[in-house]
Amino acid sequence: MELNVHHVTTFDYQGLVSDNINEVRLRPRTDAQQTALNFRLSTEPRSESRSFTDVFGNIVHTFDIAEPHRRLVITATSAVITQPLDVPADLELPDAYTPLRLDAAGDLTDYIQPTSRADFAPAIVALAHAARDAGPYDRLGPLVRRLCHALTSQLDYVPGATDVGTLAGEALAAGRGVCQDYTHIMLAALRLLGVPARYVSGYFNTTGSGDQVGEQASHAWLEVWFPRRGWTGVDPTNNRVVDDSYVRVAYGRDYGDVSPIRGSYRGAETSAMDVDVSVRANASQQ
Amino acid sequence: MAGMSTLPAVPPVLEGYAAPACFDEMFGAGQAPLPQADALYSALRAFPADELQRRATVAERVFRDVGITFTLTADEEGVERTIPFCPIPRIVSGAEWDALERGLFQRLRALNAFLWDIYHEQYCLRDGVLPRWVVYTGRHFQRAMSGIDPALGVYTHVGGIDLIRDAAGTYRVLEDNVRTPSGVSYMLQNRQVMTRLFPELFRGVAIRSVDHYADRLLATLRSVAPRGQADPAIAVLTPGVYNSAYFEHAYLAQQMGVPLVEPDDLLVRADRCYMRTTRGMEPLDVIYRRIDDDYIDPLTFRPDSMLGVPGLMHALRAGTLTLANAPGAGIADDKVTYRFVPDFIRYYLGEEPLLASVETFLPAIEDDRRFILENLGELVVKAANESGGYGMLMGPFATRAELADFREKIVDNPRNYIAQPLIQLSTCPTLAGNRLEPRHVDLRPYVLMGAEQSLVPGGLTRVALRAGSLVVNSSQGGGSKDTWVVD
Amino acid sequence: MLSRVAEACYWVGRYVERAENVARILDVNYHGVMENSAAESQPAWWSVVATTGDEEAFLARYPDPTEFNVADFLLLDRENHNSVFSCLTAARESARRIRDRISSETWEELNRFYHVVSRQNIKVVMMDGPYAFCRTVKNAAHLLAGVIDNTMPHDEGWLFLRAGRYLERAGMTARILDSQAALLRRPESGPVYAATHRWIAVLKSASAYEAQRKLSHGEISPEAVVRFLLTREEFPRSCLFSVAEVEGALHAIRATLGLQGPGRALREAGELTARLRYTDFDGTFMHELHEYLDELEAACNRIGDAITAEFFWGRMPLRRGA
Repeated sequence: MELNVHHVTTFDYQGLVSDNINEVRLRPRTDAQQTALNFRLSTEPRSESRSFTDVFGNIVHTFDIAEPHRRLVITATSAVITQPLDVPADLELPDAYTPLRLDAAGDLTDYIQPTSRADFAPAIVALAHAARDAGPYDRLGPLVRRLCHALTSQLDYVPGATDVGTLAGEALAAGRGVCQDYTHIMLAALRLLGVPARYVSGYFNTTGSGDQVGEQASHAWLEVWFPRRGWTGVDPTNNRVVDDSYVRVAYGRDYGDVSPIRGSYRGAETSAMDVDVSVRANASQQ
Repeated sequence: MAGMSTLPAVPPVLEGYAAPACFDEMFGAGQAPLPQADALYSALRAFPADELQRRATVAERVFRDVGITFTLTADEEGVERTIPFCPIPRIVSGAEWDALERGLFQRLRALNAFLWDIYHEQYCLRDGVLPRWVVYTGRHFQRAMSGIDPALGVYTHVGGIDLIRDAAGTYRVLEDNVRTPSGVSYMLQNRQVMTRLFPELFRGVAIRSVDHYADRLLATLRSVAPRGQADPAIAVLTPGVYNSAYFEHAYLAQQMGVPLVEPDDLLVRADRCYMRTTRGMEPLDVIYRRIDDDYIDPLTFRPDSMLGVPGLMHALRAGTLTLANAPGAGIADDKVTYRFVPDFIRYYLGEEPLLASVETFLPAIEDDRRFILENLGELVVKAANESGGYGMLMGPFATRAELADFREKIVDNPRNYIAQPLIQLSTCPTLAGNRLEPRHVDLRPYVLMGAEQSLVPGGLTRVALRAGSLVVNSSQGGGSKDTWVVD
Repeated sequence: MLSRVAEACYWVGRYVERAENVARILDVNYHGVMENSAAESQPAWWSVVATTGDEEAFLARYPDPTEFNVADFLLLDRENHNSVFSCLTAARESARRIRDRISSETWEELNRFYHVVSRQNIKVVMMDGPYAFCRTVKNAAHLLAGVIDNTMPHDEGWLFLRAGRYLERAGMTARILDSQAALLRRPESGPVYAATHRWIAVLKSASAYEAQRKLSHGEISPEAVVRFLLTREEFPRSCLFSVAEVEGALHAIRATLGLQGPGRALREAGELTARLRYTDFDGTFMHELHEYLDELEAACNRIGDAITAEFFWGRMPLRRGA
């Protein structure tokens, strides 16, 4: 699919601020599955950004604005071409489920451990074990599917009930969360079962292909390591397998590694933060 | 003439001194003083029993006058000294020290090579020198340092290496400290106080000087200028007046003649770090920082830190700034990593370790775990990620309940612990009332590394003030002594 | 010099000066009021509170302006951040942050000053009247100023301390005059002799009584007192003297820093010095005294703001962003 991403973040401050320094992870990745073209990052007031690649392979842009201002607008746009994926929607893949031990995890070591947000809380343990024991688990696909299903039935999508610091265990116990929480819970549960999994931030075109506008804030999901197939995207919030209507931006162990914008400044407090995202598909693509 | 002939053969304060079954820093394994302690022993003969005590009390006041003026004054005019001082120095012979120096330099070179490797190609993991999980579960492994090239490849500009002496008199490294090691100001202050209050102890003894530490530190910091410039702008970064080690930060800054800055004094613009001065922004090239990694930059590390400089890591990455010590050095002084340091020396330097370590067992390794659980009553078990002597089991002194508790902890969380045999630390005559009694000591020399390595002949000798106690940490009631390297 | 350090020096200067001035105001007015009749004392006490500008804060905590309440409020009240005690606490906190910059004698003297004040009990102070306490404060301030000037190198930090001290003095002198000016406008301001003694009190609060008498050959008119305290260039507590000192300090600071041009703070200070020096004391001057003094205080505030913006980076707190 050919998707055009337009992501605008606006910060309004209660007074003047200065020395506004930020780190953003907004540039979609380019790899075998996806090509990002014409990425542009601009800010108002203007700034010069620099970039580097972090340890997870994410492209990070940094910029700072010294002069006093009352509002910061960060605009990221790009055209992304996604390739169709050959993952069955029911995850019926032949890959076996063999729990990976930490000391045998090699390059996947970071993706098998709990993190501060994707914690191995008792509720998570219960969820993971129940999903595993609810059916055959010689193969990974059905296990992941069952877990995803169990999660969606136990959690309600409720914006505002949680925040960027909410732990997986907390969200699951409360039964409410947004895509970040769904993802953290599923990550924790899988890692607990010895399945490497990583956090993905990006965009999702909900309306599919066609000349329509899809409105969705930044989305989060995870990729699960299938021993034969490799990293495979699963979206627990929407209880589905990731396909070419998703645009991947950043990978990490949890939200902390992929925050779209992290910043600091001096002066008045923030009065409001507004995020406006549009992901449009080009009609020419089928 | 009356004089020497009327002095007692045994110094009054040492009457009845009986070292327990371990090495003694003055008497070794025997009854007579070691050659390097001869002069001190002799000088002590002229000290009546209460004279030492009297001078030790005066020493407290001298500490206040000499330097600890930066310590927070308590609400009244009294000064709170943080570490009690014992006026009997601990003595190391010149030959022993020279050997220690070679071993310490070697060890620091290996730790430094390990750090470069772990933040770049990670050959040591590929070649199985140590298990990957040791690094990747290490609390102080900083992924943000991956790919960053510190000036001259140096991460451990200041290393406080804790040494102990076992019953056979062999020096062993107990612990490495390469994050923000502190205590060097006590080394300097203790020497100053000793020369002022006990001048007679210095007569006829060739004691190596330590007062050039600040010069050496400054030279080290200058040598790691980020772009190799000859005259970099340097500052000491302190969390502020309410930090317990503030005195040391201020003292070192003053001795080196560089500004003492707090996080709020700094800003980063366009990947360059500056100080906020009355003249405007003044660039800064090298920072000797005494703030933990986690707090140093809210954009990279803890976002809630109010002790950080936003964007500091950007400057580091861009090569416009040197931080001493570099962030992420803590993976090298991790208690689990410690077990592999002899292997680092062989792997990176192709040499055999000159300095011995303490044998260390890891519960996460199956054979080790079996051994540990079978011998728990003889071992010291420490939590892998804590310092200060807490979270520790002293097997030989533990109750059955404590042993059972730790057994469970080890089984539940093997990666979180290490175990070592109990070492009988050496003892040193220490003022207890108006006589000297043996108390256990360790030694922390401060090894500097820049374009060159250097070591000031002395260090912080920490002493456990309670009889029989093996815990020397100041946070748990330890004291300090002057350390003499005697030729 | 680090802005934080310069700012601490500046505020040590300001807070110590403020503490001394508050004690002076209370001292002189206390004895002035005691010579009043009972009917006149409440408004007099009220004018004392008004001098420091903290009327609202006072009313929030005390029912009425009696001598006891006012003395407590101004001298030792921990909740009043402009009391002598609070000013000294703040001065000490600032000084603590620059221990390595100030001499040990300065720190010890300030510390001693603070402890002497913090140990006081208002009831004990008021038993004999606050004269002794206020004299202690004045003397301690004099001593501290002497220690500072004689043991601190006359470097940038010392210059900022002076700028703070004299800016505060200029503002406080204006306020003292303004509180009396308010009384002048009231029709019931009392018979001539009462007015005279009030103006004598004003002079004494500035330690200016003898000096002014020498110059004016016995005349204590409101006009003479106002002129003296506003523009007597040689008198160290006059507004003109004080602002000229601020101007001098800023000039020296800029020279030390190698800065070109005057910059906003020095320009404001220079303008104010000139305005004071060439004040036209014509017939209408006393009628517009309040407006003049108001503008003088505002000008002092502008200088303070300019110093903060120019040298101290405007004190913007660090905030977490997204």
